[in-house]
Amino acid sequence: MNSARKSTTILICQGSSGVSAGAREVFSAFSRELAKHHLSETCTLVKTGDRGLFKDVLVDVIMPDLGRVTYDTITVEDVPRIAEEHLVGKRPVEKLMAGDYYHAFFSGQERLVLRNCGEIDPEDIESYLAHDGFKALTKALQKMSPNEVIAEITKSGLRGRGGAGFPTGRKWEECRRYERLPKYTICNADEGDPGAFMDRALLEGDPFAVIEGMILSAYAIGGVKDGYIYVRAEYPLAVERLQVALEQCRKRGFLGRDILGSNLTFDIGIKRGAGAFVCGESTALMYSIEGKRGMPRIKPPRSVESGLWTQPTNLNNVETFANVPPIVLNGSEWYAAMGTKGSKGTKVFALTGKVKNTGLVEVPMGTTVKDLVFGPGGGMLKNRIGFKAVQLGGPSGGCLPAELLDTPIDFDSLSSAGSMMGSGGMVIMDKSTCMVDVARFFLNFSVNESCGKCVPCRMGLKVMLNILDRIIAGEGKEEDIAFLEEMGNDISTTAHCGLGNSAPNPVLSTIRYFREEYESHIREKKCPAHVCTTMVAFEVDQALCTQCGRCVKACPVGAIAWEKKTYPVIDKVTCIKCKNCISNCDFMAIG
Amino acid sequence: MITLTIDGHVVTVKKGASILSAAERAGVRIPTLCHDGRLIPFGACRICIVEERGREGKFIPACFTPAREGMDIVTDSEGIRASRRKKLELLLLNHPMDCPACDRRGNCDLQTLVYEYGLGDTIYPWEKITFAVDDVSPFIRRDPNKCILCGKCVRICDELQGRGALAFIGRGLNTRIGTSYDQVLACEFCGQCIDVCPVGALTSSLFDYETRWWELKEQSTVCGYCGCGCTLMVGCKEGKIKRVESDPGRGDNGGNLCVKGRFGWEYVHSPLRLTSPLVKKGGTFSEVSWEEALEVTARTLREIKDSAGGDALAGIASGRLTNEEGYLFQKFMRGALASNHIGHAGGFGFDGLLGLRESLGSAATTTGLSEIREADVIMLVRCNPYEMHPLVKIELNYAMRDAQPRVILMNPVNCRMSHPAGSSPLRTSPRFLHHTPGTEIALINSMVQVIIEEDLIASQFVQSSTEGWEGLKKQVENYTPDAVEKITGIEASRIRESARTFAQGATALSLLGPSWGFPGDEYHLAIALANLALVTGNVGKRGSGIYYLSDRCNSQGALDMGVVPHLLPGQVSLHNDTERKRFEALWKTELPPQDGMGALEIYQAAERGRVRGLYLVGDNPLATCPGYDQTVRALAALDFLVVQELFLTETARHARVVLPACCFAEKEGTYTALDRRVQKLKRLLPPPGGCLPDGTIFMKLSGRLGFPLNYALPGEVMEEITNAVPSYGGISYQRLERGGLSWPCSDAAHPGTPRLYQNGFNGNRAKLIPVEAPPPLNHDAAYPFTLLTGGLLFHSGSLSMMSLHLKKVCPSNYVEINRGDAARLGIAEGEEVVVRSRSGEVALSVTLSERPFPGVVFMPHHFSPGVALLTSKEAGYTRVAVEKKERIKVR
Repeated sequence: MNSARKSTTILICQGSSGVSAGAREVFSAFSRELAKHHLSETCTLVKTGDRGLFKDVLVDVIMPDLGRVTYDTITVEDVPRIAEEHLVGKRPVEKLMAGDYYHAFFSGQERLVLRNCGEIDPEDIESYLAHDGFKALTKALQKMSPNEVIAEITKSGLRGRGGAGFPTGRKWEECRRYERLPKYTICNADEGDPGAFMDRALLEGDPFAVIEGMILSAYAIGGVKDGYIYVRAEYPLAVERLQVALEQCRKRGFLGRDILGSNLTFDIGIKRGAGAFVCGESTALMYSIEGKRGMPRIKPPRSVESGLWTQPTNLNNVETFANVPPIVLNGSEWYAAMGTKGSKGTKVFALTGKVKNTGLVEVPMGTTVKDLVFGPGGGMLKNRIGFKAVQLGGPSGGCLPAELLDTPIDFDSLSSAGSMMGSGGMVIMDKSTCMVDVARFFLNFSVNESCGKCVPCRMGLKVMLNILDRIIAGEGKEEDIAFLEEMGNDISTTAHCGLGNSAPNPVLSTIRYFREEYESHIREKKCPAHVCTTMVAFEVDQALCTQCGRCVKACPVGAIAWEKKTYPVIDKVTCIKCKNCISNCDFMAIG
Repeated sequence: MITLTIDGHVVTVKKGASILSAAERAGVRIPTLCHDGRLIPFGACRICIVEERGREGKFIPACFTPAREGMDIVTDSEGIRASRRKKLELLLLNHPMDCPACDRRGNCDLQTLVYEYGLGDTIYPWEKITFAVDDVSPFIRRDPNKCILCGKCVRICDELQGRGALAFIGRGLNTRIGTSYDQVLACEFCGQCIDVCPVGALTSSLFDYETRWWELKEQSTVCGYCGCGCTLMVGCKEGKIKRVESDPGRGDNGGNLCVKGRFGWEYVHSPLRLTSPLVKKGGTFSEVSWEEALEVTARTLREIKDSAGGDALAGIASGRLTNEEGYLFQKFMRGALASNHIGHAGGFGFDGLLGLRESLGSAATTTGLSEIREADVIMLVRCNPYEMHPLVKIELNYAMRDAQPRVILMNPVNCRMSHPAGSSPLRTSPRFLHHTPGTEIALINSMVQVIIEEDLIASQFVQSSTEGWEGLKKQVENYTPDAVEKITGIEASRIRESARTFAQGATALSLLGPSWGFPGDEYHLAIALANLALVTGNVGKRGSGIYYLSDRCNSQGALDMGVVPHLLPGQVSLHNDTERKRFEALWKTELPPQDGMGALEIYQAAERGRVRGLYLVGDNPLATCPGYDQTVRALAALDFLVVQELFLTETARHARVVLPACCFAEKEGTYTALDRRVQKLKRLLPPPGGCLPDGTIFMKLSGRLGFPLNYALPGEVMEEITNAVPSYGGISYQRLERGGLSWPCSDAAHPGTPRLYQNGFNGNRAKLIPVEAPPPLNHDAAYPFTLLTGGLLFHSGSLSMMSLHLKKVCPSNYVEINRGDAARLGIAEGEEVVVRSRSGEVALSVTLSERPFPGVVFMPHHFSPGVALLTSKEAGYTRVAVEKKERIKVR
C-alpha cells in the first residue's frame, strides 16, 4: 500500500455487527464506485473492526481538505451518492452523515484499549505498525529487562479486566518466580456474560494489540514458549482475524524463534471453546485446553504455580493484554494518571438496555454511572419512563438503584455497593423493567450454565429459581424473600468457584435495593413494572393514558377498542397477553 | 511443620496438609461426602466446611484448604450445622427415597449424615429429574438417580485406574456421571467405583438384592490370584461368599482391588468343583473314599519308588499353594519319595528371580510395592502390569500423579500406560523402546555401555559394593547403541537418551515381568538388569531396585519354601552340605543330594520313560505348559498320574487318581507376595463336600509312605518353617494378624525388611556379571510371525475361567494381530483364522489392534487348547504363520 500518493481514506466498519448489516457489500460497492470514477489511485479503502457504536454500516471518509466525515447506517444504495457528491464533488452528503449523537457518544470516552478499533485494518499488520504497533515490544526487547517490564506493569496499577481485578503485575511476578519449565501464558477470550461483547470487538478490531500484550507477558515471565488464546467458537470472525494476525506476526518475526533478534522464542495457538460459560473460569479453561471437561478445580495450587498441564501458567483477559502495550510504551506514570486510587486506567463497557446509544464505551475508571448514561449513552431511551437501575457485571454482578447513580465505577466502589465490575456488561433499566424478572433472567442463565460440580451452585441456584418462578407466577409466599436471602448467602459463602459464589448476586442485590418490588409481587400479587404476565390485569390506567392509540396499533389480535380522544379498552377474551401494548406504551398506562 | 488448633486440640502436620487431614490427626471427625484419602481433593459436596475462630460465617472447605500456622479451627457451630443441613436438604431434593429397597441401606454416607442432621420434609419447590438406569453392564449397576455427583467414581477411575471410563456429562441440573456415548460399560470392571460410591448409585450386580450387608460376616484375607498380595474384605453368609470389598484401612493395597480380586471368586462356588476323590477304574472315574484314593496313590508311588527309585518320581505344584503347603509338598517329595524333581507350575517364569539371586544374593524383588511411588525413573521391561498386576499399575498411577517419574517402557508389545488426572504428560510421557522380541538383553547392555562411556556411573557404589566391574566394562564395549540398533530396531539416539534418563534420575527402579511367553532368557535378562541397577547405584536406596512381577499369589513363597528342584527351603542350594545336613537333621531323613528337574524337564523325561510317576498339584499343563502334544505323550507314557485339583481339568482326566482340594477361602496359611510380604490367609468357608486342604492331603499321603508329617494345624508347620528358614524366623500367625511382614524377618522383634540390601549385600559384594544377548531369532519365511503370549486382565488361568462373569466379559480365545499385517494378509476383525507353527495349529478368531508390532502376534495363554498347541518345550520364542481359514479349506 502506497498511501503517500493516496489522499483519501475510506474506513468501513467490518466487525461482526458491520458484516451482519451488509458492510462487505458496502465495501464492494465502494470498490466499484472508485473504479467507476477512476479514484482507485487516490483513494484507500480500509476495512476496520467495529468502533463500538452499532449504527452500521459506519463509513468514515477522510479527505485532506474536508477532514473526517462519518456516515451511519449506510447501505449499498447510498454508496453511489457518496461517491459522486463527496468523493468527486467534494460535497459531503449531509443527509447521510451521523448526527450529534455520534459525537456525543465518543466525546465522553477515553479510548485507550479501543484506540485502534475502527481505525486500523485488523487483517493487515502494516496498518497496526503504522499506529505504533509493536513499538512497545521493540522497546521492551531492546531496552528493558523482563523484571523492568513487570515493574512497569506493577507500577501502572493495572488490574485484571476479566472480573476479579487481580493486579496483573503481581500475577506475572509470581509466575516468573516459579522455576519449572515450560510455562504458559493464556489469553482468556471466552467472553460468556449475556450482553458482553468487549472482547469480541477488540479481537475483531485490533487483534495485534492483544498478541503484542501476550508476547510482552511471555518475555516478562520468562520460560514461556507457548501461548494460547482461548476464544469462543461463537466468535468466528474473531477467530479468523486472530488466525490472520498470528500468521502475519510469524511472517514478520514477531512470533517464532528469536523474536526481533532477541533470544525470545514464543508462539501462540488458538483453542476454540465449545460454549460452556464455566470455561471462562481460569482453571476450567485450562482443563478445556487439555481436552478435559471444563470444571473448576481446587486451589491451591494456583495456576501461576500449577496451571496448564500442571506447569506454571499466566492467564489474563483480552482487555488486560490490550492494556499492556500502551503501558510499556508510554510508561506506568502516564497510565496511572488515569482512574482512581485503587483502579487505574480505563474500562470498556458494553452499554446496553434502555439508553439511546448502546455500544462499547471506554471511560476512565472512576467515571460515574450517571456520566455514562447521560454522556455516551445519550440519556434514557424513553424520557417519560425514568431510570430505575443499572445491572453491572452480568450474571455475577448486581443491580444498583437510582440513588447510587453517582457511584464511581471502579473495582472497590462497585463491590461495596453490592455489584461488581465483572467483565464490563452494563445494562441500563428503566421503570418498565421488573427487577424480579431481571433477577430471574440472570439466575436462569447461571442455573443452565452451572458446571454441576458443587452442591450449592447446582442445586441451590435451581431452588432459588423455583422460588422466583413461583413469585413471578403470583404464588409467592411471605417467607420467600427470607428463603432467597438465606439460600443466596449460603451459596455465596460455600460454592466452589467465583461463578457460583457470585451467581446469587442478581437476586441478592435486587432484594437489597428493590425489596418492595418483591413484596408487591408476593403480597399484592402486583408487578409494578407490568412485566410479570400473570399479574398484569391488561387494563388501561386512565390517570396515565394520553389516548395516543399506539397500543391499538401494536395489538396483533385487535383486542383493543379505541377511538380518538377516548381511552382504549382491552377485550380480555380476545387478548393473548403478548404484552405488545405494554411495551409500546410510553407512559406505562397499561397494567 | 505446621501447628494449629482444631476444636481445642493442638495438632502438628506437614506443610501442605489439609485442614481435614489435620483434623483426622487430632481425632476430630469432619463429615464429607466427596473426599477419599487416595484421591486429589475435589471440593464438590461442601459438607466439610469449617470456620476459623474470629472469622465465623466465613466457611472454609476443610478437604482442600491447607492448614496454616496458628489457625484456630471450629468444626461445629450453629452456622456450620445450618449450612451442612442445607446441602443435605438440597441433595435429598432429587434423591429417590427408596432407601428400604436400596442395597446401601444403613451403609450409605448420605443416609448417615441425614440421620445425624435430622432433616424433615423438604420445604423447597422441586420437580424431580430422572435419568436412565444402566443395569445391563457387567458387574456394575449404575443408577444416576441416586447419584450425588461427588465424583469419586470418576476420579478413582481416572487417577488410580488410569481408565477414565466414567465422566461427568451434561451441565447444571442435567449433570450426571456417564460413559462415552452412553454405551454400556466396557471398562476393567475393577469395581473401585462401587467401593467409593457414598450412596447406592453404583452397586455390584453380583451382590444386588442378594442379601443385606449386615447379615454378612466380613473377614479379611489375602487374594488368591496374582502376586500383588491384596487384602480382601470377604463378606460371607451361610457358608457362601456374597461379595468382596476392600478397606483402605486394611492391607497394603490401600483399599484398591482389581476385577479378579473383587469379582473373580465365583469359581469357589462353582457346581463343577470336585467334591470327592476319584479313581479311574476301567477307563472311567469312580467316586471313592479318601481312604481308598490315598491307599491307591501311596501304594503306587511306593511301588515305583521301590522298583525305580525316587528319581522316577516327580511332583509339580502350583504357586497358589500356601507357604505351609509348599513346604510340606517339597518335604514330602524329598523325604517320602526321595525325589528332587520338584517343579513349579508355570515355573518358566521363575528363572528371573534366580538371576537376581546370582547377582544380588536373594531370589526376590528388592523393594516393597509402595516405593514405586517414590521413584524418579521407572523402567518397565517385558511386563504388562495393566493386565497382569493391576495393583502395580495402580502404584504406577499414584507415582505418575504425584511424584511424576520419567518412564521408560521396554516392551515388544505396545501396552497401555495412562496419564492419570493430575499427572503432567510433559514429564511422565513414557519413552517407548519397542524392540524386536528377545533383544532386551542387548538393549540393557547397550544402556550400560552408554552409562560407562558417558561416565554416568555411581562410581563410589560400584567400588565399595560390587565386584566384576572390569569384566562387565570390557564385555559391554561391543554393545554400542549403533550396533544394538541393528539388533533391536531401536534408534541409537533413543538408547542413549534412555540410558541417560535412567542414570541421571535421583532414583531409578525397574519392573521385570514374566510376560510375553516362554522366551527362556529371563535368568540372563534379570542379571543384565541387575548390572544396570548396580552401575547406577540403584539398589538398596529408597525408590530404587528391581521388581520381579511373578504371576501367582505365592510364586515367591514357593521359591522360598523350596518348591524348586535345586533349592531347599530358604533358597539354600542342595549342594551346600552344611545346610543339607541341617535339613536332614531337622527332618530326620536323608536327602537326595543331586539337583532335580524342573517342570519342563520332567515332562521331557516322562516322555522318555525316565519319570514314571507324577504328582500334579493345582497344575494343568495341557492348558498352560508349552508343547501340548509333548505333554500328551508324556502323560500317556507315565505309569501313574495323580492330580490334586479344584476342578476336573483336561489334565486331571488323564490321571489315575484325582484328589479334591480346597481353595484359598477354605484354608489357613500364608502367602508371600511378590515383594516378599508374608500375609495370613483366613479360613472363611467350610470346604465343599469331601475337599481337603492340600497340606492335609500331603500329610495323609506321607504317613502312608512311612514318612510321617504330623501337624495338627498349619500354624505348627509355620513354626517349623521359622526354624528351618532364618529369613522367616520372626514370622508368626499372631504377628501376621496385625498385617504383613516382609522377609528377612529374623526374630520376633524384627520389623521386617521392605527393602533389601540397604546395608550392603550380607557382607558380600553384589556381582556384576557379563551376560551376552541371545542370538537373534531365525527368520523363517514359512512362519513369519513371532508368537507372544501373556496374561489378561480378566483371566489368570483355570480359576478365573471357572468364574462365570469373568468368562462372560472375556469368553474365548483370540489372536491379536497388527492392523498393517492383517491388511497385508487380507484378514478382517473377528475373522476365523488358523495359526500354525512347526508344532501344531489352532483355529481361532482375530482381533486387530496397534498393540502387537508388525511381525508379532499375541495370544492369551489361558484358553485351552490354545497357545500350548503351537509351542514346544525346547524352543524359546515360537514362530507362527497366520492364514485365513477358508483359504486352508480350499487347499
